[in-house]
Amino acid sequence: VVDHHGEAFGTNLANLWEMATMDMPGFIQGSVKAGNSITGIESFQVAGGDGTKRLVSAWVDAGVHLRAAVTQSVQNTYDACDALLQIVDIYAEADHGNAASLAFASRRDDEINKHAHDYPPTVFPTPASRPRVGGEF
Amino acid sequence: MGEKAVSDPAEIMSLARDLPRFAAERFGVENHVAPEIDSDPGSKSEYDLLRSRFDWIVDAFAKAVALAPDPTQFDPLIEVMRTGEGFLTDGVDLGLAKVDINGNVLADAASTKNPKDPFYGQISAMQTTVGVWSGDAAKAFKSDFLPTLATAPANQSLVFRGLNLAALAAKTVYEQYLLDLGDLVTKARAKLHPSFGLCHSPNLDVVLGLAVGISKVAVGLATLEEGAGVFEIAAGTLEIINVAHEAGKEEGGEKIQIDGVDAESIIDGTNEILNRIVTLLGQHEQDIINIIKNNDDELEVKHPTLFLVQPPTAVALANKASKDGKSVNDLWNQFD
Repeated sequence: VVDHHGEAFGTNLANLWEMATMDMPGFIQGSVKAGNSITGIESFQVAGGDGTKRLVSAWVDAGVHLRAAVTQSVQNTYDACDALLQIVDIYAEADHGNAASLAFASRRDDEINKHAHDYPPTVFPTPASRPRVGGEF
Repeated sequence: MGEKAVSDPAEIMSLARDLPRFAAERFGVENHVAPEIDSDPGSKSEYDLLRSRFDWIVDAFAKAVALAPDPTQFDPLIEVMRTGEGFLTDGVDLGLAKVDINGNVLADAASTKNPKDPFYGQISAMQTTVGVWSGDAAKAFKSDFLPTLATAPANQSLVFRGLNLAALAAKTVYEQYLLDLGDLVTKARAKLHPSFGLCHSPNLDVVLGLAVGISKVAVGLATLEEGAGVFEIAAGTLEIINVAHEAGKEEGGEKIQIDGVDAESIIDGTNEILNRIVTLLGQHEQDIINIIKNNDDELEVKHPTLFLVQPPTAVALANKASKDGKSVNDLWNQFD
């Protein structure tokens, strides 16, 4: 059971925050790139007979479903990130102004500053900054 | 030495357009019609009529060529799936054989008996992070969500590889189809060409054989495109009889002689393509099976969401906690 007070708890909160803003968004970036690699796949066309059209249509259909699954996986992972961030915020707010929330805020700000100039970015402190398939939000 | 293989549609049609002229000349020889005299309108008219009787050959090749797309049109599909797979996992890390855009193996499947999921380290680090939290939602996050998150990209990458192979197989089929048509037109042209010794010449059944050949190649392709995966000889026979009838020969039921056209080898070739595809897919299917077996801990089918990452219970928990006034108390018990 976690002790919900003190600096150690703030460190635990910061670790959760890092998961939600660095580890998980970083982990899922491969999926984002993979999804982007097949963006617009439905526009693929080839010449040939009706059989060819059916063949390509089936292939494209599979590709579209794959992209949808990848996109959904990314979204669900980000939802998990959001959930962790909400949990962290709720805990920090409950300890507002005390050791846990102060330790958390300090660690969080330190990480943001430390990685401010990373390229490509390695920290995604807000949902708006996360990479998305097709650039959609 | 074999002749240069012809597979370019324009070249196939160029060769095909010679065939009515050669067939008319052959018909003239076999039926004792005087050779064509260009300056004689009567002779020219007679041969124009003869040639027109064989125009169907050009039409048949045109129709057959139109069935196939340019195989290189499949290249973007092949490439995009290899790229996507690379983003997800990098095939070598997963133990997959690494292949280039043409399916050539660049590196064998990983020789180690237990290639590890490249994501295992990242996920286990996250599991350690959340390991200090002992509530039910935290446990579910650690034991259910994170392992699924680890396996989904690996499994998605296998689908990318599968679609890559499907596009590659389609390209191979059409390449072979055009090669078969090119082979057919090349051989027919050689057999009908006036320079071919008459004492060894085929009779005009070579023309009928052409219909048979085109039909068989096209039927083979149509069957492949339908996805049946098996050359349906029964359907092919029916088509042959129809084509024979259309070509002005005896009606269906006649035993068709195939002289000068290597139609049987075309059928063999079609089977060869199918076997090649089956082998190709089989090899990679075995790859996939091996990966799943060798990555028992990481890829074992024990989660219902191996392919699609599902939201963890923590999402519902957080949403609930942020909405009601007892949020912190809820979390104490479930994510503490």
